[in-house]
Amino acid sequence: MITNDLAVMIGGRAGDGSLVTGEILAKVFRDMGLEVFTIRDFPSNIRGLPTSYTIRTKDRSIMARKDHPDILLAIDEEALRLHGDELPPDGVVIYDSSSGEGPPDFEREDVHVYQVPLKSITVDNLGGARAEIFKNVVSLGVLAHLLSVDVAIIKEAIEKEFSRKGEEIVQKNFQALDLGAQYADENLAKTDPYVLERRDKQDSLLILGDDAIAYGALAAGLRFYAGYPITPATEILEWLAAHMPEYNGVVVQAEDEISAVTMCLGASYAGLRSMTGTSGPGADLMVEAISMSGMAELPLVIIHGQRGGPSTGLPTKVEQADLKHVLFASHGDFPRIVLAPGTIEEGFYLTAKALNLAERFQLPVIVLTDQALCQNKQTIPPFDLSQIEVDRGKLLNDPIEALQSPNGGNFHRYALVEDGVSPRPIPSIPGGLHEASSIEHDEMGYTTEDPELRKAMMAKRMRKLETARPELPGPVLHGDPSADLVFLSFGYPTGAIWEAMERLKEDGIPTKYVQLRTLWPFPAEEVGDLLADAREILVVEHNYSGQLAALLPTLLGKVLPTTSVTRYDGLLMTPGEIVAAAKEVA
Amino acid sequence: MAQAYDLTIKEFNACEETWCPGCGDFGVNGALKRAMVNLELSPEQIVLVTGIGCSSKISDYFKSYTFHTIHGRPLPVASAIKIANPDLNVIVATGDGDGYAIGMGHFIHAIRRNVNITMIVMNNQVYGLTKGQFSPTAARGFESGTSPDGSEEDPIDGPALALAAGASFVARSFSADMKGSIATFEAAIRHRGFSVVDDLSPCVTFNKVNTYAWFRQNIRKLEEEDYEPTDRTRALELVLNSEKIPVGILYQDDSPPDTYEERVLKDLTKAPVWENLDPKGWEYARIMDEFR
Repeated sequence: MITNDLAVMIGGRAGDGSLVTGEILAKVFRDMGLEVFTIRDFPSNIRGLPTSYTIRTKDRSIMARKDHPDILLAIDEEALRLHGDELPPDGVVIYDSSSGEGPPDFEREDVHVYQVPLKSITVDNLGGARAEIFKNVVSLGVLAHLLSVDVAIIKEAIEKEFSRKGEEIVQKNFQALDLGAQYADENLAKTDPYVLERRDKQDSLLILGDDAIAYGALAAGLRFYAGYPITPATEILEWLAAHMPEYNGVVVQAEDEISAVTMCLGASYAGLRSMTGTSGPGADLMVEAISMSGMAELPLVIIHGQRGGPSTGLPTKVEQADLKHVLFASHGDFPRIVLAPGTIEEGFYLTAKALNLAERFQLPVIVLTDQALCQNKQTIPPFDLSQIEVDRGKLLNDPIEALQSPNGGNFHRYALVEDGVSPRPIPSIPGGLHEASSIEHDEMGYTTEDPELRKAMMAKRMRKLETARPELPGPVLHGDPSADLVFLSFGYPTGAIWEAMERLKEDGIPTKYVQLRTLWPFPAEEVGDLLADAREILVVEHNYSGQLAALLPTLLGKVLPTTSVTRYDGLLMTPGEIVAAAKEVA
Repeated sequence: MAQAYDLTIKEFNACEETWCPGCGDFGVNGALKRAMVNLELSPEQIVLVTGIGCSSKISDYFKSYTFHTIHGRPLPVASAIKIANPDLNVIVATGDGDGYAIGMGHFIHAIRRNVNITMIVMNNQVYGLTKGQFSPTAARGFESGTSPDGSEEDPIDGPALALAAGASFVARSFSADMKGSIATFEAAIRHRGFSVVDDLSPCVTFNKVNTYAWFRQNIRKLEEEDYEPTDRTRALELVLNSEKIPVGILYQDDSPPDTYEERVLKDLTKAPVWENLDPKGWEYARIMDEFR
C-alpha cells in the first residue's frame, strides 16, 4: 500500500479541458489536507498538441517533479504512447476504451490498466458529441472511486471552478463525476496499491508562482506595472490587471518590452513604485533601459522568468540559462542587484523586498526566476503580511514642504554623498527641480564630460552596492552543516535538491545545500565560508553549459572542486537524477 | 501647487545652449518658454522629457523637471509620468530620428492611448549629432555621409501618420516663425489629449537643402487662410496633397476629452503618486481567500 504519496498525470491535448481537470484535482488533494505541487508541461500551442498536467500530492511539503508519474489519466491514445513507459512497476493507467479495443502497442504487464469507455459514457449520457469535453470529469469520478476520495469534496471544487459559468454547467459536471464513480464501482476491481487518506485540513494557499510574485509586489506598494505578454510572465500581468485598479494602481499592456520597461522608469521618476515582468526575449529588449536605470539612478524592478532559449527556444519550458544575462547584460559599469527566489513562497517575499531595495538604492533590481516557479502551483502557508514593509529610502515626496535648492539652481539630485544614495525629489515638489539623465551629469543632472566629475559620479554610483550589501538576502544553508558533499544552486532546483537530500540521508550520505538568494552583488565571503570545507560541490542548474559552475571561480575568487549537474531538455529536474549525480561523487 | 510669483521667460533658463549658431532648435526653446509663461505654468508643474540627439539636448537648456532618456524612448517614459501624476504638464521634445525612426513604434501607440501629453518633434531631416546622415524625413535623393549617391528611401510625414493613427491634435510649426510656434505650442499644451507638433527646425550645419530660405518659399501658413482644423479627412488631404507644406494647427478633435489616464485611473482627482503606501493603510489580507 502506498499512502499519501502520489503523482497523477493527466495526459491530453491543449484545449481539451485537461488543465481544468488538473486544477480541480489539485484543489481536491489540498482540501483533503494534503500538500500539493503541480507540474504543467504544455506546448506553445492553444489547441491540439499533446499536453500533460501532473498533480503531486504528499503529506509533506513538496516542490519538485516526482521521478515518475504513478497514475496516468490517458485522455487519448497519444498520452499513453508518450507517457506509458514513464510509469513505475505497479503504476496505473486509466484508459479510454470507447473504441472497443484495448490500448494499442501497450505491452507492459507490470502496470494496472483500468479500461473505461470515457467518451461513450459522456456522449451517451450527457447529450451529443459536444459533451465530450466532460470526459475529463468522468475520469475524475473513476479516480475518486479508485483512491477512495469522497465525491463531495470533488463536487465542492467543481462548484468553485464552474459556478461562474452557470448552474447548468455545474450540474453537468456533477453528473459526469457521478457517472465515472458509478462505472468504476460497478465494473472495476481495484488492484493497484495507491491510497489517499484525509488529514486535518491546514490553512494553506494553493498558489501559482506568478500570482505569488504579483501579490507580493502589490502588498509592497506596487502601483504601476507595464508588461508585454510573454510566457512564463504573462500571469503576473494578468493578475495585476485584475487587482491593481482596486488599489488605485495602473497596469499597462505596452506595445513592446522596451516601452514596458521605459514606462516603468517614467512612473518611477514621477514617484510610483513600478515593476515589469518578462522572459529572455523581452529581457534582451530591456537591457538599454536597465543601463539607464543605473545611470539616472531610478528604481526599477524586473521579474525575469526564464524559459528555454536561445532565441525563441523552448518558449513554454523550464530553463535557467539567462544567469549570465541578468548578471552582465547592458553596456557600461553600473550597480545592479539580482535576487533569486528558490520557492513560490520566496517569490512573494523577495519581490516585496526587491521593491524596497530598488527605491532605497535607486538602481535596477532583477528578480530571476524560472518557468517552473512561475507557472506551477504549490500549497504553502498563508503569507505573513506583517513581514511586508515599505521603505522608500531617500524619496522626497512631501507636497507641502518646499525644499531649498542650493545656490538657487537646480536641486542637487545627484549629490556626491558618502553612501552613494542621494535624495530624490519627485516632479512637482517646489525646490526640487533637476534633470534626471542617462548622460553623464553633474550633481544637478546637467550634462558634463568633466573627467574628475565623471570619476566622482561613477564612484558614487558604484558605492551604492557596498551600502546595499549588508541588507541583501544571504545564502541559506540547508541540511547537515558538517557534510562535505555540498549542493549549490538557485531557483527551481531547490525543491528537487531538498528531496534528494532526504533520500541521500536515508542511504547514509549526509549532504548540505547552499541556496543562493542574492546572485549580485555576489556574496563571495558568505558563500566562500559555507563552501570552505567541501570535498565536492555539485552545482545544479537547468542549462547546457553550467553557467553558475563556470562563473564560480570568478565570483568566489578561488577555485573549488565542483561537479556540474545540468538538465536542458525542457523538463523539470527530478530528485532521482540529483541523487544519482550525488552518488557518483559520494 | 501653482507658484505665486510672476513668471518671466528667465525662470525657464537653464544651461547655456550649445547648439550650432543659427540652429532651428533655439527657436523651439524660446517659443516653448514663452508658451509656458503665457500659460502661467511654473517650472515645477512641468516635466520635459527628451530622447537623444541635438533636439533632446533641450532638457539641459529648459528649466523645469526634466528627464533626458535614451534614444527613441521619451514617449513611453512621458506617458507613464503623466499617468502617475496627471497634475503635471508633460512635454516630450524629440527629433525626427528619435521620434520617427528608432521611436516610431511608440509614436503610433502613444497616439492610440491618447495620454494627455504634448510631443514636439524638432524636425531637421538629418541626424545632426552624428554629423548629418539622412533621417526618415529626408527627401529621396538627399546626399549625406550614409547616402553618398542620395537617399534611396522615401520620407515619412509625421503629421500624416499621426492623423491616420487617430491623434486628437496635430500641428506643424516653423521654428523661425516665433509667433506662430508660440501659439501652436500653447494650443497643443492646452489640448486635453495627445498632441503632436512637427516643428520644421532647420539644421544649418548639415542640411544645405532645407534651409530657412527654402522653408520660407515652401510653406503656407494656415492662420492666413480660411481653414478650420476640425475635419480629420480634410486635414489628411491637406497634408498629403498640398504642394506647399501647411504650417499651423492641422487638426484638433473638439469632442469631449477621452484621455487614457482618465480611463485607467480610479480617482483622477487623487494622483496615485501621492498614495501613502504603508501596508497598514491597505486591505491586502483578503486577497489570500482567492487561493484558499
